Amino acid sequence: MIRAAALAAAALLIAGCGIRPTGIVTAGPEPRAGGQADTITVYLVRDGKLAAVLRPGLPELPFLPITQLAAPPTPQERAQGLRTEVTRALEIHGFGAQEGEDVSELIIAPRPDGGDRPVTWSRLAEAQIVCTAAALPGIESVQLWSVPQRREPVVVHRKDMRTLVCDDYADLFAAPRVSPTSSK
Amino acid sequence: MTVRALRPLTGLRARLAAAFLAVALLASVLASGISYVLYRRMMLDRAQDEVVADVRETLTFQVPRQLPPDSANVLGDRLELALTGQVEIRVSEAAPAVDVLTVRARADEEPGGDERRAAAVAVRPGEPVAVPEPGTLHVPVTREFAERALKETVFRRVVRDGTPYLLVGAHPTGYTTTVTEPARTTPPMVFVSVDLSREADDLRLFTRALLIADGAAVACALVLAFLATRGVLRPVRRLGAAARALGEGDLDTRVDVRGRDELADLARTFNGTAEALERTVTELRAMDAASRRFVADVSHELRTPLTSMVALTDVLAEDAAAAPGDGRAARLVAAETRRLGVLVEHLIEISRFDAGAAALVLDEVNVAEAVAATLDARGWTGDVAVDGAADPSVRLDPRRFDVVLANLVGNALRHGRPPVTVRFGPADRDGRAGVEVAVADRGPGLPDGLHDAIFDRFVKADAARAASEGSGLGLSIAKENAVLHGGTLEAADRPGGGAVFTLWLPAERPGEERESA
Repeated sequence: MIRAAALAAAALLIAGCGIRPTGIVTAGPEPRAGGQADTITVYLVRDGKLAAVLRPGLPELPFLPITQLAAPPTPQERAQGLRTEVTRALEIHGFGAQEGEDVSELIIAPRPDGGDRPVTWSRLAEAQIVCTAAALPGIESVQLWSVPQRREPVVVHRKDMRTLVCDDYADLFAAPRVSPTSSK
Repeated sequence: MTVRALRPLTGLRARLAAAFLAVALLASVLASGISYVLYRRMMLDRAQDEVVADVRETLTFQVPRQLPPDSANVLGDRLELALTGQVEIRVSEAAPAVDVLTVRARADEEPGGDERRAAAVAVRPGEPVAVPEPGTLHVPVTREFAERALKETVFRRVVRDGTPYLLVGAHPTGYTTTVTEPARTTPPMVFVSVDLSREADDLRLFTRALLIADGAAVACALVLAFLATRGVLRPVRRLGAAARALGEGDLDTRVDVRGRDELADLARTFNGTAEALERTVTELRAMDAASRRFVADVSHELRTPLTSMVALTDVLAEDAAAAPGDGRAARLVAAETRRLGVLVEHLIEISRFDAGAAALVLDEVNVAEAVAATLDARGWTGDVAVDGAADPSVRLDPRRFDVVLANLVGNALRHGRPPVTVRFGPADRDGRAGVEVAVADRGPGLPDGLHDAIFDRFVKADAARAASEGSGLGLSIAKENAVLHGGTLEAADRPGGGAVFTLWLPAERPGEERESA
């Protein structure tokens, strides 16, 4: 009798030791989304011309507008006749003039998709990318590559690596251009 | 010491030690059990709260109310990095000067840091909830958990391969989506798994500390039990020794009364009892001695007149026999007077034994000669067959030997039937040399019911014979004489009828010097 009780106590003691698994436990309601993010300016195409569109941004993702170019327009944007010429997902690499400084130079390349074929950007797509990038604060120079960047040293032809400025595409603006500062 | 060694498990010491041990064990196990449970709960609660708070905070700060289209993956990557601590959550609005890839590269280079893994899973309204791919987290996520995580912040602990993990799941709320394409702007849900082996290690360390403490408590309990039992056992042992001494006849034994506890009461009671016992025994002894002395005195006082009476009645009987007429009365009176004389002699003898005044007068005696002399003196030589080798002489009291033998042979002749035989010879008992004399007859044997009492005083085979024969003390005196010699006297039935009385006397008596060669 006593021995059985002692045995049960010992078993309980040993079984109760350590960290035990639990079932699913509620730890409060769903967190409320409350991230603070600036709206971003993305250049889309309407009737063959560039059109600046505002979209909600994400916190701490300064180059989101450029990657957003590859996303198909939202239903509302489509209703306004907006579309995008950028069909390939993009990759962005930023450089500061010196170590520790803010990024002032961007290299934009197509995201690797398995093929090595250079991408032929349409002029409208180029304009979308360059003008969207140039509208970002602090960006002074934009390079657009036609081939995906790789981690190992690569040889990139000069023709595949062009430094562009938005002013080259001034003819594609239908309305007076939205200045970078007004995008805030 | 031997008595204590014989009962090591049932003794007071063992029982007290067991009780102390049980109490100490119970208390320490209870205390350590409670503290263990509390500590574990506190530790796990802290770890869980920390992770849950981190997840909630990250979701709150990283997920805006409205998402750009198709940004769930980017946001998911961002959330994973933030939740695994590879990117600090910045509440400030200042944009960092690094891009996602740079951050990711740095995270890849960082060794270790596998304590926490995070997985963001895209949520598609209207479709079944998705779970992270296996291997992304430490433990697989069940669909049920994911469904619960979609509605509220949940966590569970899972043990996998002996390692405990904490799994937390959450999905933010309060965002707006487009009506037609909600999936494109729905934020992802996140799962975080945390390795709890550090907590488990802490817990193990704590357990070890508790076990050491419990062991120390048990050791202390044993020491205390030892001290306590010593305090209790010493007076008990003293009382035991005193009781033993009292039992062995040491009636003036008393114990010291120390302290005011129950054992002191017991000691007082013991002393009182011993005192009463001593008083009673002394009184009884005095009374006994007085009565014995009285018997001895009476016997002595009776002896002298009886001697005269015997002589006179003998003369009277002779006269009556010479005179014509019936001389029976005179003969009867003479015989009874002689018997009275014998009784008084026996009483005096036995009172000597009782008073311890009987002493041996030892001499070198040839047993064969002694037997022959006894039979000769009583005129029984023709009635008794004697059988025995002529032995070297033995040291004994010839008078007492004569008394014993005469009594035995007389009894055999009186109560038994011939042939009466006396057989003697050397016999060893218990490794002691001695001489044995057996007196046997072919009579009715020992009377029924008197086998044990045959040597008692005034025991007679037949109450009806009481008046006529013997004093009833003969066998008692014979036995006392045998005992005085350090020997024995035994009675038994003889196979084939009759009784046999066997007297055994040792050839030498221990503790007695041979006075003469």
